[in-house]
Amino acid sequence: MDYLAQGFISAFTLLLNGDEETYSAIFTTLKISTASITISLGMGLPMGFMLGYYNFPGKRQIRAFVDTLLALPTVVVGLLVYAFVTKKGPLGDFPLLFELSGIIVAQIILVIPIIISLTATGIESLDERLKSTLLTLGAKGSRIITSSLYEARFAIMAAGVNAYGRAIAEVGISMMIGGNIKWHTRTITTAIALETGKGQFAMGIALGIVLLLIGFAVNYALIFFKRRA
Amino acid sequence: MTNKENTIYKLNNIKHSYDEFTLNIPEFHINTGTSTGLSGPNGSGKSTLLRILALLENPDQGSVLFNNKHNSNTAVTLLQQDPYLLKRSVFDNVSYGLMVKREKGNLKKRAAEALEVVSLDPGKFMNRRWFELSGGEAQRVALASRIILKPAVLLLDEPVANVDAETSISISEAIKTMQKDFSTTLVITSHDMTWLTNVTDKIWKMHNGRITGSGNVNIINGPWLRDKNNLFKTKLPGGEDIFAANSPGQDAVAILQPDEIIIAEKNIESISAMNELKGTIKTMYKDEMSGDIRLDIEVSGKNFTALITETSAIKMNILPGKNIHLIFKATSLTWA
Repeated sequence: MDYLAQGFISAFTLLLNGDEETYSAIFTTLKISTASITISLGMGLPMGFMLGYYNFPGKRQIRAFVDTLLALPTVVVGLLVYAFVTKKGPLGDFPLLFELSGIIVAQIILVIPIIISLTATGIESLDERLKSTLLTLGAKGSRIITSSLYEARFAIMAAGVNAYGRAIAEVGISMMIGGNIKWHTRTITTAIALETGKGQFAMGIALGIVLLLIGFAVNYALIFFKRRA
Repeated sequence: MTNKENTIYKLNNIKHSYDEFTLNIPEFHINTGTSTGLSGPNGSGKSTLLRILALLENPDQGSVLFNNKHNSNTAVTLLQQDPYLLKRSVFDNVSYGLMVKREKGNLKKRAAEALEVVSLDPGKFMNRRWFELSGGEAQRVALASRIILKPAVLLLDEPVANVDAETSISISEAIKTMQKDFSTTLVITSHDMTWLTNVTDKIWKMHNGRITGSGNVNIINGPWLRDKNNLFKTKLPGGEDIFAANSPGQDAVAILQPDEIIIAEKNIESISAMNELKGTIKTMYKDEMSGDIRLDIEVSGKNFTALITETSAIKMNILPGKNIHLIFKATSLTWA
């Protein structure tokens, strides 16, 4: 067990000394996951609102499809996106393979079902008196949408936190689309996989600690906002 | 029924159905600045009518004109039964309507004034959150969020159904303030006839989706079964028979005007009237519309309303709790 204790000591040394390779993986992860979550929220919130708020033909089928996508394996997303962005694929002319932008696109595909599904659930669980209350207070159109989303804010924040957790913790997409290129597309999770394979536990443990800290920080932010509300 | 120049609502040939219920109002007008009451049993169509007046629902048939226009709901607001508060502070709830209208000046002051109208201390309540309010306080915050808009029409659906006496008084005073200070037209539904009479100029009774009459009319449901001497009879929950003449059908609804009921202290042996019921006076107060004393009388679980003069009330020593007899002719019952 000495190697584990030694690993933890070395991990803290790397973090405290600002090891460039370690911090490169951390910043790359934050950059990719923040971009993918921001875009996914921008697209997923209105789609989740529409799915939860309106009744239309095929709604149940769409809902079932979106809910099925919640369990999408990251390697399957990686495989599909790879097939599209590889030189032979239909998007082969775009610089996506082994680039951060490619990982972002694939992560959007991974997390957008989470945002749509949980937002729709949040909107569906809103009190049925809300719409008529907003109407009687003079709200119309986009004001009804924004006010309804605000009423469902805790469910939406939970959707964002869940989606962010899935994005920062995934390995398959980053490995297959990003290629785990040092100083470029290497993320926390791909670095952990690589370093562990090499028997270098220190960096793996250091990055694991950072990953957990990010998870705690995001969840604590959700609890903090709930308390303030 | 109406002075055309003062009419704020004109309803014509309204029919609106859902499930097995149909609201059927051939004609109904409401004048500007009046306070109109709607009473009737659950499922009689009061809330549906309010939603149509609030222009939240379009009727299946017929027209609703508000100030002679269709679909102009900017000046109408509805406080629904068991109102919903937004998951925000009291201030945010009360000022929401003004924010929607982009009226952002003096928001704190105006919200405080609206809270004062409903007898809530702004210093104490302004920053409270939605879950820190009792049922009565939530009801008053919801009312304040409508009052702040100074609407031309305020529609209130059972505003005192689930509140204590103190809240009921606060809501009455707020309603009167709205009418006096802002000439707001009010349409209010309530089961509490005493309260409703106190805050409205005229009360319309509703039954089975129809407006069956105004004032304190008594509604008597069927089934009406054919009896001897060309009469029809139905039974009250306690088994007492009520006789009527010329029933148009088994499920017809009979209307008995309060001034058709004679109040007697004792049973009268020789009398031509077919109906004599024994009841207990529950409440009594002066009826502003007629100037008489209004009696709410319970007869085997059903409430009847009767009117007697003040002189008769004193002479007969009429008081709540007293047992009396109600007498009325079979021909006094008319049909809705």
